[in-house]
Amino acid sequence: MQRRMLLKTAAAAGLLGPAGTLAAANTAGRMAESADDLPPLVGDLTVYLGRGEGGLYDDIVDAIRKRNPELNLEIRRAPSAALANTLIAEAGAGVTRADLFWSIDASSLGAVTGEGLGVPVPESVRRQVKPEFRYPEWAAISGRLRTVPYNPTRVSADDIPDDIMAFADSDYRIAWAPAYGAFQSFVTAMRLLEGEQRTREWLLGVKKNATSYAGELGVAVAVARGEADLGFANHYYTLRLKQGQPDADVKLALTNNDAGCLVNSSGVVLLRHNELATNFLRYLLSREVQSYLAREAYEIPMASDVSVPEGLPADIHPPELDLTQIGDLQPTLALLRETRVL
Amino acid sequence: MMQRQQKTGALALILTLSLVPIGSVALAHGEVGDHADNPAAHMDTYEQEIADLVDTADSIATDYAADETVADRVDALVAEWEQVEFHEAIETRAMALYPPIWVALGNLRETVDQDSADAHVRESQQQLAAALHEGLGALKLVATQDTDGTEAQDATEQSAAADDRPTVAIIQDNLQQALDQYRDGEVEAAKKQVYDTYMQRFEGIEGDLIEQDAGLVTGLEADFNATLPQLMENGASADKVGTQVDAMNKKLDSAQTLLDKAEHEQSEVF
Repeated sequence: MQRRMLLKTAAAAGLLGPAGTLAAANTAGRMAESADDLPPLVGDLTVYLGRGEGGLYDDIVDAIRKRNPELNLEIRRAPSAALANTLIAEAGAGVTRADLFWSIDASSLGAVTGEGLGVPVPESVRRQVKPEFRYPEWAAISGRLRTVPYNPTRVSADDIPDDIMAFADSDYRIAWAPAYGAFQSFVTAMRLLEGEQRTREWLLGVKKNATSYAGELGVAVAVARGEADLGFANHYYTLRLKQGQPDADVKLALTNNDAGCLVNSSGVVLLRHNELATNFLRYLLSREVQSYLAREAYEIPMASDVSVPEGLPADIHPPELDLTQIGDLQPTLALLRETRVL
Repeated sequence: MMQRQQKTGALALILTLSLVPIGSVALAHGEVGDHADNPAAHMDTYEQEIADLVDTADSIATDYAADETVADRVDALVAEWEQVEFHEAIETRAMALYPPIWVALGNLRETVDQDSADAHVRESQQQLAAALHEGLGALKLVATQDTDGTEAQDATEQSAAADDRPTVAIIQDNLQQALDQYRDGEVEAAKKQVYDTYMQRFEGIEGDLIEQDAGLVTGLEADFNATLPQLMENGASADKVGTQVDAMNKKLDSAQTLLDKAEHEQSEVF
């Protein structure tokens, strides 16, 4: 009942993760625009930018600036939660200084829209986003997927459970990175979806056969080396590893409709009714920028018809979840410590 | 009141989640002024600005209690806050203490607009004064750090401060700083420096490195998260910790070479 209530509330707020299948190259909705077809950006624009993947977001900003010399773009960079906090505080004082909030994680976007600070994303722009990721108050830009990297020389893909909870009862040697932020968000999602007791049991069950690594790249590498049969990690570590070492013995499996295949998304909240801000968002959703994010950062593009990175499974069935809740790490950390996973 | 409580709750949640306040290159209202790079030289200005702001807010609360109309003066106070150099300094160098000032200003405006009790307006004014003084304290700490020659950073938290140097060079400097802290017996500060450097600096470059040399990245991950902090935790000699830092620096030199190669190979956005 509690979960149903949470989902119902979140659905009303338009903050749910995707329901149903996320197709690898979904052609439903409006086609992604080419930057060549977009109007030039002219005038003053202030963007709050929650930090992102390496310097790639900076590269995108620089490229947009170079392409639009009459754009006076002011960027304020900081961790996304800090910027959300600032936006809320500024609004509380009756001030709106930013035109647009671009953040790497949905929880900070939800914090801002939850305070009523966003203006609706125009329907014409919304329809450019994959249908499963269309929200009224923010536009998804790119995503990160939880996966099960496995070693095909040790494990048959057909034998891998498609239920994340089943791993607690398996005999697989498992690699995980409990101190890693992405893993903690994943456990948070499990806690929200399955409840605290089941998550506790899962942690204790997996722990019996698990080896801890410092980060999730370490998980992917450990699987490839055969130190573990499989592991839990965000998708891009395995894809990057395979890019550098095509022969590495690691492939990706996905669970089905649970925390094990959660998609967390970066996105944009428009903070004013401002055509320039909307057009800037259109650049971020353009075929060129979306392809760049997929190509260079291995992110899942959210524009409807831009292909996901090579090597990602074709069909993804993420769970429904209030993405804004994933940032609530404190109860998760307490659980990880209680179970001595951390 | 309920509305304000909800807002405060949301802020508290996000503050809890906010590990690192800021490293900003440019502000919403323009480029960072030179004074923010050297707050020590401008402390007198900041102190005077805060004194003026506090006096103004105090007079507003006093006159409100005397049934004078003060709403326009609250607006003027907000405008003044947006103009002062202290605003820019706190925004760039101590960001965690920046939102509370806005919250306090918002509360002052709300209590005035809602014809709240005199005591509530006075409470908001005192909240604002406290937030401003807390911010000044943070800037003084920044000024002290600058004078000590430590890396310019946000005083309120571990910060990925604006810095044009290559990330690898910053990481190596931070490791040296952690080693120096360890030699001085500041074990917790040294461990925190290592952790912050990993979270705020190394994670930003590991993506490109993975494709070039995954083994190097996993090795450095273990160094940052296990080997080096464990040496410190176990009270290893400073020489032994220094040897570990040297080993990490050699790996980081290799990382810089690989990053240069990756940058050369990176495709264009458009």
